[in-house]
Amino acid sequence: MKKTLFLITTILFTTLSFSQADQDEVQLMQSLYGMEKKDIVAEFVELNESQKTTFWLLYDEYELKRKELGKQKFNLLFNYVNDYGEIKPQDADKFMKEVIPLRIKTDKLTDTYYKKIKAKTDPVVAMQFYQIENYLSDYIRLELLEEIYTTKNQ
Amino acid sequence: MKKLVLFITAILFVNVSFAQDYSIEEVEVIQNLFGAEKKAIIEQNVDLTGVDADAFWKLYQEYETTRKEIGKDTIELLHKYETKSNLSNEQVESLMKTAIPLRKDGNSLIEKYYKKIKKATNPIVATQFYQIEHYISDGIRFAILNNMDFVQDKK
Repeated sequence: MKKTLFLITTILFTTLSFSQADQDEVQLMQSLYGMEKKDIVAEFVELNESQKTTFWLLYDEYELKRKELGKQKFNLLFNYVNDYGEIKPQDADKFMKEVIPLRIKTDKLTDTYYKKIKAKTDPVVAMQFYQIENYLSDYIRLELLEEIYTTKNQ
Repeated sequence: MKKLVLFITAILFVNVSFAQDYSIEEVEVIQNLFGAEKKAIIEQNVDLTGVDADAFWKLYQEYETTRKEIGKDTIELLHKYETKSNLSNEQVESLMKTAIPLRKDGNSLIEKYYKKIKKATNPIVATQFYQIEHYISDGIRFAILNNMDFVQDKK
């Protein structure tokens, strides 16, 4: 994962603006990674000529579904952060009833496409996909949780 | 909770050398990354005012016992992976057959105890537990992925 080390340094210099309602997850990713997500994946997943078309077809399909979940997550967190000052037990409960299934769905999506990619390409390509996707999503999750903690302390 | 924000900075400077040090345990990794015992991190981030604190800690201990087992298996898997070079398709498949369920088990455990803690205390305490536990586990995964060789580096 040596190549991704540069990603971490960008965290230090990136400021997230949750208060801006117009920001979405795609924009957040781009500002964090400093490049398009697809370009990052292209750099990490090693494909031979015969695998390229199949892989990217599946990847685009995956991204379409993932972005939809990302959008839901972002909206949910945006509301949560903005309401946090006066959050009540029933609000927390309601929030978590959406947060937990969203996380499960996102993880399941990666697992599903890991299997699909493995079947259509090979296990090494599928593992590379799994690693880079989890790396990027763990990173986003960490960053969002940091944002929650920081906001709560303001 | 401000202390946590330092965590990502810490990843930059802490060398989590799993591969070099076979004796390292997950608890030590947490301590290296967060600069505190895990229980102290929880105490700082879960507000137990007005709830049954004893019930919370009893459940938390129970949770930790199971979680540590999963953490141990994760580190073991990582060692297995790090000592191999030129991974074949078969080796990758066998590794992933352990890695994927381990990740799932870790997540399911947090959800299971989120529910138990919610019943024993209240939804806010349970949310705080869920958030801090995921923060720690996502942080560890991130640090692990960041420190390990990517599959392509092995070729």
